[in-house]
Amino acid sequence: MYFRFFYCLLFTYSGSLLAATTQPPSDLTAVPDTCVALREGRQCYADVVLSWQQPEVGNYCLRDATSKYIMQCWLKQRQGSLNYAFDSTQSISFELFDSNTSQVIAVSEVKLQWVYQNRQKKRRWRLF
Amino acid sequence: MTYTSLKQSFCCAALLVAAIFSAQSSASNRYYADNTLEPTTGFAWDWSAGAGYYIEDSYLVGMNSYDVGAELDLSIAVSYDNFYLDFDHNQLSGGLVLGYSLINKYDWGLDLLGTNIQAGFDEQGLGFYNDGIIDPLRGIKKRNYDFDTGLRLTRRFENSQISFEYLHDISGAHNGWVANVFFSHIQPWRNWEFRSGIGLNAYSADFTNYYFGIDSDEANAARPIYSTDASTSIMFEFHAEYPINQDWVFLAGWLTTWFSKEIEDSPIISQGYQHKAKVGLRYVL
Repeated sequence: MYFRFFYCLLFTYSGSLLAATTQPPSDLTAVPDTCVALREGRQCYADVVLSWQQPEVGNYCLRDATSKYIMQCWLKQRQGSLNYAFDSTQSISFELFDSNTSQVIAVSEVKLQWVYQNRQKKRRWRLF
Repeated sequence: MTYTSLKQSFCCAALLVAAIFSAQSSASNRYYADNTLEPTTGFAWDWSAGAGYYIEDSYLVGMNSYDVGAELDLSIAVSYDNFYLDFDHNQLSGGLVLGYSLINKYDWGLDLLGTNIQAGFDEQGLGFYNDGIIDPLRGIKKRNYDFDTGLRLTRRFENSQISFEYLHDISGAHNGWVANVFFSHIQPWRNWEFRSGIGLNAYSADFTNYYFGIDSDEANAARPIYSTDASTSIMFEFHAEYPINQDWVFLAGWLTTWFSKEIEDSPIISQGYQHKAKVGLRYVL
């Protein structure tokens, strides 16, 4: 019983290792990766540089992960960067994908934070 | 203890107790539209703290024209149903406000409130400077902080607010009235927030003479007896805030007050205006 459990664990661990080695490295970076607004719900602005690199020359595109809006494509390149004017009330994820196969290669996110949250949600404390 | 001081203590204690122990709150920063605490049942609180560096040009004679220093900024808002206590240092015009929301509907608000309007001072100037006796003020009687209660009518717009207040001193300091109208506007620009406000204050003759009059006991060769009528002032303030990260905010502010001739002509006043500017950081929980 215990051996079975041990093998099960080992198999799961080696499986995740295998998955990690076969998973493409996340070669898309966003700098900065956080935008801080003063108040919750307010538009947040940041000048973000999205950079990517790949081991092989290819045709790649960068898009908004939610809306699938294609922001820019590169032909026969293995690296590139885009200056993106972040202007949103919520976090945005970006995807780098191979335009020949449509396979997503890397993902990155610009997270949105704020200082003053809606008071009842975070900053108010109820005694009774 | 005299009857007057007993009465003052009772009024202050009653307001404090009412604020703490009574049972939907709409506590608000006094002058700005966005600081309204959302209505809630029961006890709620909110705070921020920070420190800043200020420069001030006071109107009292003998005070340093450009006084500089560091100061701590603590802001606390506590509410319990319709009662609230707002100790606000987010704005230079802020202060301690105890209030009760009578009506809060259709962007209109009517509040009962109690607050301090005028800082006390004596021959050492404004209390927090502690620079010893200031020669041009030597021999004046102590002017106490007042505590005024009354009504505030507020109309809120999307990013603006206009309020009217009529207050009467219950501390026994001057036993006079103060009325004011204040218009404020909040303007976001990218991640910045700019807050500006302009106000007109009117002070009764009792108020004006208590703080700025000179009676025969205080008069000397350089400081003649001075008695005057009701007075006014106009104030303008501007603040800028910028989020550094999720917890810290950079802030800068400017407050200027211009006083009418009834105050400016007082022998203990050196100029008809005051300026205060500060920059600082604030930590928000």
